[in-house]
Amino acid sequence: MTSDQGEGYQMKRLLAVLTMLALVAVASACTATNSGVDDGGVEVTEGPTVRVGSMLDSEGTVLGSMVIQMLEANGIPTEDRTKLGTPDVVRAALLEGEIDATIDYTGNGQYYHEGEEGLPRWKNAAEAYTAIAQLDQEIYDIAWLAPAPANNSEFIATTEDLSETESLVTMEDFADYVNAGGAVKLIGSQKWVDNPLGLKGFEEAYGFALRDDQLVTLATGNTAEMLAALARGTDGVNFSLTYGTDGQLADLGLVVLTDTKDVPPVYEPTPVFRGEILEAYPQIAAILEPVFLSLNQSKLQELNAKVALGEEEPAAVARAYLQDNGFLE
Amino acid sequence: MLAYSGAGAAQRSTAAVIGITGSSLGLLATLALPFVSFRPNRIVDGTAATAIEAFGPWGWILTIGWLALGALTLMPLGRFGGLTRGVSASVVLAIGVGASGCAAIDYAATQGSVARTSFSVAFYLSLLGAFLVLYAAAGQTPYRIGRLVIWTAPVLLLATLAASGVLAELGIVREWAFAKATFAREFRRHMAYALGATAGAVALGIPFGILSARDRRAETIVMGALNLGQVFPALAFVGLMMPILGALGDRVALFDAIGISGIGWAPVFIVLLVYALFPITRNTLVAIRQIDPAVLDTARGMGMGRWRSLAEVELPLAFPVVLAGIRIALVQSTAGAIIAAFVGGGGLGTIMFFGLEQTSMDLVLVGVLPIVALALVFDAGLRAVERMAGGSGEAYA
Repeated sequence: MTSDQGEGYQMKRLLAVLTMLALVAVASACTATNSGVDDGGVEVTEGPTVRVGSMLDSEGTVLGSMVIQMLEANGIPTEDRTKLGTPDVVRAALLEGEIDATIDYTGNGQYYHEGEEGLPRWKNAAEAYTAIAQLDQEIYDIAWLAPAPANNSEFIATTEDLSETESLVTMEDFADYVNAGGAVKLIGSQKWVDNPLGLKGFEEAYGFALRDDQLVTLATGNTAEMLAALARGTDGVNFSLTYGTDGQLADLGLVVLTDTKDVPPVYEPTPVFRGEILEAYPQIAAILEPVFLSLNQSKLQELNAKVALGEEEPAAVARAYLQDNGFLE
Repeated sequence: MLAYSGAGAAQRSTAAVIGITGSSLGLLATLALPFVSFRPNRIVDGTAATAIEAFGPWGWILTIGWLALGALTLMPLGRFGGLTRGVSASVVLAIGVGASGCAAIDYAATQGSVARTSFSVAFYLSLLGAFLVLYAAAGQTPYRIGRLVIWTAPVLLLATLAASGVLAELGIVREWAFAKATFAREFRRHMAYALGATAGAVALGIPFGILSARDRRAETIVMGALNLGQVFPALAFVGLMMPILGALGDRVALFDAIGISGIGWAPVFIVLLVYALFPITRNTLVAIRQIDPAVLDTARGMGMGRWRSLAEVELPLAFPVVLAGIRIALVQSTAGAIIAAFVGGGGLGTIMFFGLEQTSMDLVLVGVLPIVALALVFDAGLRAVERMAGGSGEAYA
């Protein structure tokens, strides 16, 4: 390269510099418009905007959307932060005040406070709710509102075919099958596999033990992936963790093994709010209570199936439910 | 890139080879491999079908189209040859897409709204084949306007098909309909991460590069630190930043005020910035160091001080190579910004990961295709700037 390249070269360089400047200008413009506030409400009351988060899954997004739509309909401004991330990220965001509200499950409370994991009180709906509501209120000023009476607990599912050929109906049948040396490849989340009220609880209660090579463990607890693996028999998977409100079992040809001994904790979906938001809008608890009370297990299964099978997107599923049940016009 | 000017016999034959490769690929894929797959809903396994099985007569028309395209690439067609081949390739591609759309409508009519018709491997190979033919055709076209027609024809044809509603029942279009409410917001966020991190890396990386070029000790420290940052997996890195930034946000009022916390944009921005710093700093360092010492002597001889020499001689000479570094940083940040979805930072990664969790590959594509398009646009745009700047940074890319 030499420095003697004439006027045309100078011009080109100037053009190049200008293009770069334009790029930087676009960058800052992008950042400036990056507010993402939802301004759908009509008569917005004075007060803070409620940032509603949720986990990156179908049920969290449906229920989070219901919260947003109900608050907006009652004149409370919201910001849609649903599909925020993994459960850990959502919980951290709530504690740090990055979001003001989310949907969480009563049974998750055992992981949020020292010394609670695996205690028997998480197996009782009322006791579990009281425990997490009190602990979070005292320590973090976070309120658990009225939960939905739907137990989204952890069970084991298998294919209809295997259930018929090996006559697997209950967890006792499963234990006999394992102990007789039947082929097992069980997919589940790491947390559930390690929890004394999860797989370990089933093993103890029904008297069987799975080897490590009979397990496929995932870092996240998203059962959509696990059930798809089970239905397709990916890597020989023939049993899977499933949640009580998973809606796609019938369409995938899967069945749940009946838990006759009430082993797992109770996981009731609950709207959770930061204390300062409920101080600003004390009416929120009363707005959401009837909606969540109406959501029983079979209704949640129905709503989740609509999202999982691809009939509608989560916010539309939420709106249709609220309208059909008279919560929204 | 093929050189457009002075198309010699060698270049013509290269273009012909690329063209015939593309049309053969399209023909063989269309005949032998599944073109679309049909599923009763988005999560169950489906049945795959070749073009002829799925489209009936249109499958044959598609096959004949590829054959004709192969014949066109072999025929000497004179000065409008490139244009003819290019436009024909777009038409063949549009037939494939349109026929898939019609098949999707028929399937949805029997299965209801949860039915999904998705593109299969033969479609993607056809896409690659059509691209090769277009690329060769553009190389054979000596006029700027002709090349413009060749590259806009496929876009216009596909846009027309989409506007006519023929594609409405394709899986990817159905999933797009679900994602479009949040798409604009996530797209803006994604752009902001990519451009913001690159802009920050330009502001920091060029001074770092100059410093490293001047001082070996500074080079050891700066490049050592950046190398270390480079080997961190993005996910581990962002996980590491979360508690650190969370603690900073809680303790330092200023950080809290500008929204820095362990969740959201801050960890994403810092991780992308560290990755983007590497190519920009390295290219600045290399570009300044490789300047002929005689040029610097001349500058000094003309009475230039250190700063004047830097501003008027060294940086202008280094500019094309630095620009190549910026281009790499921008493309890398565009792809890297999907990690934002893990820490509540939004972006197109959210759509992609929701698709993965729902086991819907069509929804994954709704998130991924715009990322690919953005990266290609950024790459082509900055390459054009590099050409304008005169030199070529290709050697350091």
